[in-house]
Amino acid sequence: MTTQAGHAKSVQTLSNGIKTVVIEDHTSPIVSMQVWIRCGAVNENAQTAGVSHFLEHMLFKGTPRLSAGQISHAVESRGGRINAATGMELTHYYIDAPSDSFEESLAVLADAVLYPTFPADEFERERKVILEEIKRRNDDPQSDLWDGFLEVLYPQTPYRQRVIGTEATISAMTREVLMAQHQAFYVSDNMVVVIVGDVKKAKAMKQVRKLFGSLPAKKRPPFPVLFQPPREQSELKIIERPAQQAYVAVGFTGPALNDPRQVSMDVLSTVLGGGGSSRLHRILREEKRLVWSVGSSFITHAGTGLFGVFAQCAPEKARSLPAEIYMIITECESNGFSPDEVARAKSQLKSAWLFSQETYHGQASQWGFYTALGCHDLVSRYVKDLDRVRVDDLVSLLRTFFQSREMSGAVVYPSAGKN
Amino acid sequence: MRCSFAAAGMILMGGLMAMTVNADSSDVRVTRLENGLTWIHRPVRHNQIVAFQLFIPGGILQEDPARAGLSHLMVSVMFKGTTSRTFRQIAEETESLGFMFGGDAEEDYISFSGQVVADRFPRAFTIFSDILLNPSFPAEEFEKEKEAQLNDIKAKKEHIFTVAFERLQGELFGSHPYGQPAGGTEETVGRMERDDLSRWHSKVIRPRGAVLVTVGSLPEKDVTDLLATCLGRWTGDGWDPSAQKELVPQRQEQPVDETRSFEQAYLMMAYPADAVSGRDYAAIKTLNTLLGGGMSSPLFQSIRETSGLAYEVSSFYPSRKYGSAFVLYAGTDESKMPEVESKMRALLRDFSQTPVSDQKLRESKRYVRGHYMMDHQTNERVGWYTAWWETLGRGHSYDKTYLQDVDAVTSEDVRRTAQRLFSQPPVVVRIHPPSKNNPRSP
Repeated sequence: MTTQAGHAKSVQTLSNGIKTVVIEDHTSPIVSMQVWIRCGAVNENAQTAGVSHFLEHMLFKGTPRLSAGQISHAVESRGGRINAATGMELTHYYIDAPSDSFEESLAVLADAVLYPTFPADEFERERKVILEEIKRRNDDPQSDLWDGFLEVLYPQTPYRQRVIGTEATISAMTREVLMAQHQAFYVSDNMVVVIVGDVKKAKAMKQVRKLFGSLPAKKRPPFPVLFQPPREQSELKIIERPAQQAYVAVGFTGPALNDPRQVSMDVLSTVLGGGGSSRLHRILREEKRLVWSVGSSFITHAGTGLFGVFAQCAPEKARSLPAEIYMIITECESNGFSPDEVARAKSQLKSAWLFSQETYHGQASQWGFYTALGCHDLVSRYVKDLDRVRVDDLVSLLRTFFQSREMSGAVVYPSAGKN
Repeated sequence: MRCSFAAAGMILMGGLMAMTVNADSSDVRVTRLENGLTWIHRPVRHNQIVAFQLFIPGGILQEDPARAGLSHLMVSVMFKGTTSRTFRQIAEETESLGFMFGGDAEEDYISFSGQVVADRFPRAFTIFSDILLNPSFPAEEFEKEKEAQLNDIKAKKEHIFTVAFERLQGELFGSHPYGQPAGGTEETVGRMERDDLSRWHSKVIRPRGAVLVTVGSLPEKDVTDLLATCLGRWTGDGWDPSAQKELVPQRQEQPVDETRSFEQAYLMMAYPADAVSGRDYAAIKTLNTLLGGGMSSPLFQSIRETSGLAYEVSSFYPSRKYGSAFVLYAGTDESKMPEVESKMRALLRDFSQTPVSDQKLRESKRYVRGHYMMDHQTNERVGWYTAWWETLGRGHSYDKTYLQDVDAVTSEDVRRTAQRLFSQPPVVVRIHPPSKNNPRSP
């Protein structure tokens, strides 16, 4: 297994506070350049819901140097690709490009992220695009499931916010709100630049300093409260909408990113729902034939994490499913796991980790995500930490996070007027 | 890099006779085996992963429209048990190896793929070969997978792109297998019996014409021995392409207008286009990049960036062995659909009438090259391209020369090709959200 252990010292901090990761690798003549900002849906309120995502769209709409069309053209005409994504607590921008265009591409990325001009006409046009994006999302039953699941699991923290916002908030959004979000969060203390690929480390650092080093040092705003107190009562939100099948999501809150049990939660979710031999798949799909598909995952947050079981099934089977899932997890908590099933889960996770390192983009994404959330050392030690996870650790996790918290979630049922 | 050489001869590989062996300057080694299987090995030394791809020509192409979905269901149930392993044993053994694998039925081939850490490849491939050659199609597993596939067919109706695209393929290709949904319909899959699967397996899972690609750091001798052990007794003639029903693109009498329970409206427009072997294949790929490749493309700029008419808008030209289509699509507001369609048609007229500038052409070629390189970073993708080109008839080495063909495309090639394609009547599918006059889907 290859690990990133050799890159542990790769994180450098510029004098203004911007963290930088550079990994030199000349296997392919390509380089991935990414900028990660700790800004997302958790940094919004009921009135500004969707501002971080709107902002992400607007950063490709013009700078003092480049017009809207010129930004994408500058990258794509050299053979690269440019895009961005917004999540709960992070926004990231990337350019993957042939390495002979490294300098020009990084300059475009820095320009777009640091110096957007937010042209008024572009702002109005983009509002229409995002309203279309909302409609597209509304057409997907799993979007409703996800929204309902988060609302139930996070009643008191901003993890319940919708990243894309709502039709009402986007319709009412002003350019000034966007600019204020940029001014507050796109600051040196809140930014990570990652370069992975076919470029000399010294050259990459020189370019990063040149392009990002002049940003004034500025502290980020205080984080919102991201720790969700355990629920006192179980809740299951029922959603009826056009759909062809039922969708179920149930779970419980888990440890935060800086908790050493983070990696154990990945093993737990794989043992329970990570493959054909996992408990949930074996019992619910293979033995009881209650579902067409089932899986589980642990969702990492800087604050309270989330363990979720997700299933698709016939509507008539959805009602009993949460109780069945509860019983399976209870049985695991009482009787534990076999060493073989834990070893299988670890083996799957190690392979997935190794495969994710094959692309420069994959490596850069891992470094960007964990560094921006203040936990870059996890990239270096992930595989070693996996090796240390024991059967007892998983039972202990269930006793801490499952036993003491009420399992809750959401179910989407097909309404009469299905597609 | 090893010196270029070519050798021909007969090398005994256990039960498999290697008829010809040759390698090129890029270390790619091709072995034509006695049973008709072509094995291509691409050594990779910069990581510890071994990936493989097995492409078997035919599959959906061989299906009678009345049995659409048979290959797809067969592949699903193959993984659910062999004559010596239950599904649970397969799952436990492969997961303990960290072996990730799967299979699917596509228009031109049935494919299987897998990847694993190099030192575990022999054990992983042994299990895979058992799945490939000895599936037992257990009755209970058949029922489960059939039920799941029937549900998948229903669930596809939740995705507006799939709804539009399946309808478009039907309009374009009629009763040819390309016109059928890969997973079949509720009627065709509902009629299937377990014995249909074992009979279909005997008919289509044949080595002659199939392509196995291995990519990784394993010594070639080790793979040779492994193949002899695992596939030595795999025999049988493959699919005869000459029996293939001729593909005749259909002429659409009038555009399809369907009402479905979506919030979005959706427009999909297609023009019949060349097969992968066509003289203008590289020109059409370049045209697709010039028209709809990326955010700076005229299609994206015209529909989304300068008009705000859509979030999702693009074009694509799938590579198919017997014929294809050039497709444009956009998700938009119902009231904006005519404007989107009008802008698309105006763009196509421009490309048909005015040659693109040399600079635009150069940029589009860089775009194709850059994206092609980026998609070759993993062993899995390198293996996929190698098997794909070989199976589609261009030969594995086209993975190297495809970009040369793109480089040779001229602006006049693009204009001529655009004029030829876009002067045909298009096939148009419009999906509408419910309205007061038409509240429900038919």
